[in-house]
Amino acid sequence: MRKWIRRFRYWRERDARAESLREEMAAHLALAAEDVGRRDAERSFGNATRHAENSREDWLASWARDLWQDVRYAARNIRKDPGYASVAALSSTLGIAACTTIFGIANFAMNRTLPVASPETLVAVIGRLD
Amino acid sequence: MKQDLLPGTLDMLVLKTLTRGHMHGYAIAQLIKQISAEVLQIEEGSLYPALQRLELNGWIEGAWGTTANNRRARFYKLTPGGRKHLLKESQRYQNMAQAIARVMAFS
Repeated sequence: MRKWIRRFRYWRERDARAESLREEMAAHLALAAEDVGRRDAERSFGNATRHAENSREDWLASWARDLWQDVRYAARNIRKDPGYASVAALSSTLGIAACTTIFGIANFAMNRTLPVASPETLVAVIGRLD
Repeated sequence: MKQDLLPGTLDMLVLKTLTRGHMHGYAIAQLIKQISAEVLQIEEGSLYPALQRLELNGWIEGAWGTTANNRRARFYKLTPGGRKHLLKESQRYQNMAQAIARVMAFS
């Protein structure tokens, strides 16, 4: 779950991150140029825009890919073991049905106002058997 | 580099390098190159996607700072989660290396 929160944050900050990555690569190039000279550094670095795109794709695409992977994994498991899947589906059905029924009853019994003229003034109802 | 290593190895190497302390991308690549006697040359095109991936997974944390020569660079440090992941990965790697060695020793 925390992984997804972080991924969402990354996704939201993607433009700032892309900018930071570009700067980071420029800084890398500057450091390499100090060691081996600008020409060699640039040659070995290659296409910085493409590297940035690759990195960006890595974290943009990876969460879509992961989600798709999870979906496929679930589908595969359902197909592999339909018995288990139907038991799971059945128990979910029963659980949801039971919750809905109980809520329905409780809602009717506790939340509905009584069918009398001014229910807020009603104190007690007494029944008498003749 | 990309094709020549077992999958996930670059991530492991980067994490391992960072056990030495805060380091920027260029220093990570240089250190791996130096320690491996120039056998492992990390291309920028693999390094930066790897750093992004590691940070996205919460295994490393990057922050802008200045180098000894007063240049701006993004420094990375290992997180506790990253340390745990490194341990797991190096065990996996060792199992794999042993398995390969066993197959290669078979006659």
